Amino acid sequence: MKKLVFSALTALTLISTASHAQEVVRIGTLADYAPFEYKDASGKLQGMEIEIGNKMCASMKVTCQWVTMDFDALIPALKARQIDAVLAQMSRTAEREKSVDFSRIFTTAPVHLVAKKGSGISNQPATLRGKTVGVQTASTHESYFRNRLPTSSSGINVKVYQSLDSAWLDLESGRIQAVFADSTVAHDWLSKGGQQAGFALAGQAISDDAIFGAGTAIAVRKGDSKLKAQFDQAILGVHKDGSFQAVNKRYFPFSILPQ
Amino acid sequence: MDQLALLLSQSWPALLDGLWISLQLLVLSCVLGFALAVPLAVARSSPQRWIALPSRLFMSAFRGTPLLVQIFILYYGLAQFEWVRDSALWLLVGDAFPCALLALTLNLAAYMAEDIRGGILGVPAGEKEAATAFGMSRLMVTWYIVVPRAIGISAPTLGNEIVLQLKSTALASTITVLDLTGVARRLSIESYTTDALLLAGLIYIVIAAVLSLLTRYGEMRLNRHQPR
Repeated sequence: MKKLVFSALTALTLISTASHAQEVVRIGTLADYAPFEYKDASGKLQGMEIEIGNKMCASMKVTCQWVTMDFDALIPALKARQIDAVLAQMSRTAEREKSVDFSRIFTTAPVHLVAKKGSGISNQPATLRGKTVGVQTASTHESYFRNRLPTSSSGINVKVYQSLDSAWLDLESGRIQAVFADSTVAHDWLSKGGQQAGFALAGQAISDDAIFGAGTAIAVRKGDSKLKAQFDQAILGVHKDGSFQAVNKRYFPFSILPQ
Repeated sequence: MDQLALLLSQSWPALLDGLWISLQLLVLSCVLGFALAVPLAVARSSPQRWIALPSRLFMSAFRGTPLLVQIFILYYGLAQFEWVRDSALWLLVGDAFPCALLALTLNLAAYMAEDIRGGILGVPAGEKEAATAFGMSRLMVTWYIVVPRAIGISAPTLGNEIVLQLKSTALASTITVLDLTGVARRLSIESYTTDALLLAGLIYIVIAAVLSLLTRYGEMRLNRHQPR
């Protein structure tokens, strides 16, 4: 009986390897991070990273499966082997490198505060005293405020959102006075109505390499050097052959190609 | 297990803060919800249509939609209207905690009202007749006989609603309230593990056990005159 089960299993494995000639890579991403990755009205996953990601998968000769979840679930899911990689504008930071490995830098990620025009809020912390700033949970923006400007000394309240979409809603309703986010998604929100409602980027981009890292990259499980090497190769490919720039241009009036 | 103990020793102040918020949500929503449920149930049982109908509509609206949807509508939905932001209502829905409390209270009131209505139907006709024979007015019969008896009859289900409500409070974390679930999520984000959630689960189990003991005791007291 044991033998029979065993041979049946072997047969099954053979069949499944035969029908899946291409390796499947499950990539974790977000469903609400326009314009990088978001679900359109029909529920289809769209966005700049999805487009380029699919291109890279084709060049790697693997079948990519997109899996959407909340940002804070991505690394735990990666470690639990529910996904094999993360492509979700995740900044490559020393903190995260303790738990996962990263590919080479995929995009740069400047960060900006967004606030009402004429509110007096700028990139100077003093202008935020007594105000509430919204950030996405588990993001570098959250850790910036937690580490550099803790409420006790700065007088700045921080409200943490599961998704950035909710933070924009609260900014519009006035529950919070500013949102701290990547300049790219901020630009997208401003151009889709935020500007019309009287909001704008507040002051210059904020720089702090120790917290924000050099840019975003693709995360893989610690020690998965094969997949990391494949992604490194694929990223270099799209950066070199101009396809990254071509897609970039359709989404943003500025370049996020790493130097 | 060692990991859990370590986590507990490191982050118990944060977890305690979260637990405190959860308990506040639970106790306040149960007290307010119950206070609202009694008149709702009485109105719902009224033979007069114009009294019963509003209560009936309220109950089917809140029992017919998911609590999560109610929380989102109260928090994000209402905030989009300028007249809401300029009105006194903003004091209630402008901040996350009162908004979550409002949703939890209204939702629980609808469920408890339905339970108490069942209790009202179960009050033996003989008891009401006896009260009337003593010369009590309709209002007195309702207030002194029907309502207390109905609450006693529905006590086991009401107790169950309280335990269910404990778990509903976790939904407050979806609108940035840092209750026990919210804190556990934050902790598990920092460590990239689910240990904190496991710990929160254990805390919920303990509270639920205490709650069911308390409600069983309450049931016995309410129905202590009953022969068994």
